[in-house]
Amino acid sequence: MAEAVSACEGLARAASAEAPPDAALRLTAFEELYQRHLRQIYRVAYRLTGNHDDAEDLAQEALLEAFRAFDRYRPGTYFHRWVFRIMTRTYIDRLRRRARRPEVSLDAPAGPEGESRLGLLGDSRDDPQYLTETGGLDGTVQAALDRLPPEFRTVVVLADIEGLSYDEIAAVVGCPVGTVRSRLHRGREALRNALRPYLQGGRAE
Amino acid sequence: MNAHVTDRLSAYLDGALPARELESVRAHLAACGTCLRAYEELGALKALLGGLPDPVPPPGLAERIRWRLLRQAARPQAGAWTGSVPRGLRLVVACAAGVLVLLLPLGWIGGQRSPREAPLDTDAYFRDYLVLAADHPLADEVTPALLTGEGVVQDPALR
Repeated sequence: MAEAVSACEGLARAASAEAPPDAALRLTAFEELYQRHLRQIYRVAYRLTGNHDDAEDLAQEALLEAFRAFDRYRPGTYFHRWVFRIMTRTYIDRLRRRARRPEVSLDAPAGPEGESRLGLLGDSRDDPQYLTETGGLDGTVQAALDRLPPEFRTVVVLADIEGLSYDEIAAVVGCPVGTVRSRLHRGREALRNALRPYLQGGRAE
Repeated sequence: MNAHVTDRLSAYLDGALPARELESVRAHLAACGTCLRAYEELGALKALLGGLPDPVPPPGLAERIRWRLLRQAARPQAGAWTGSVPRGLRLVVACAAGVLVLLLPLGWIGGQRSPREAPLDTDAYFRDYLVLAADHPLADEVTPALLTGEGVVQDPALR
């Protein structure tokens, strides 16, 4: 660990010594921003992927991509929403890539309830690690989220866990507000059916 | 009794329904137990999702991200700050390699030597290297480092 830390510092020195000053500033500015928002960024990554391994991969990939594109970030706007936009795109792209080059046969049936294959591929219910990671109500809710098609899961997470408005979600996901509304409706309906026993006696307001 | 309003309850719950639809949904909810129950369940669902505990990030996550950012920042051709200079120089290298390739047979002919007899010295090695580098300029991390003198951090295990 000490070695890793000193190597890290060595790299930091190398980066700041060899880079022009604005590069060092760029890195510092980026670090300050992402560290302040890491909790939210990780929360979305975790709720999208459903397990810590994939969540860390996704968060790392999105932040590296964000750093590469940092020149396009407009200071003063919400940094975490900008990262969400990169992260949701990374996430969907990754599932599509996996769907194009699947590890299991494409001839396998597309699921008992006719879910899209994309939705099934985002499903980590059977991951043994996942079962040990989450238990109780949290695990039950996450399992229901995992069963949603990724496009629905994304808007539900952004709306109900992150508290974003329809307009904000539309900007993050890059689709019309009407699409956000219908995906949210369908995603919540699926969750309402899956989690009904836990919703009885709940008050709407 | 009007038709059920299930498809608008979600937006109604979020206060995102256009004003003209608001009243009809409200009136329907006052009269329809099925839709009212669905509405209450949606509200409970929203509360349930909003109340989920924050996942605890794995230990060392921030350090691992920092490490990768530093690696990326230290890599000249990936950073925006080295910009067009190495790219321009790479083009020069590619052109130089092209010229070398074109001139090579002339040298053989002029010297009355068969290719087999071409000297296997460091020049030949460097020529071959330049040809390879020109074929794959982006994959070659050494090229910009050689040209700009900037250090390249290479860790095969992490690539």
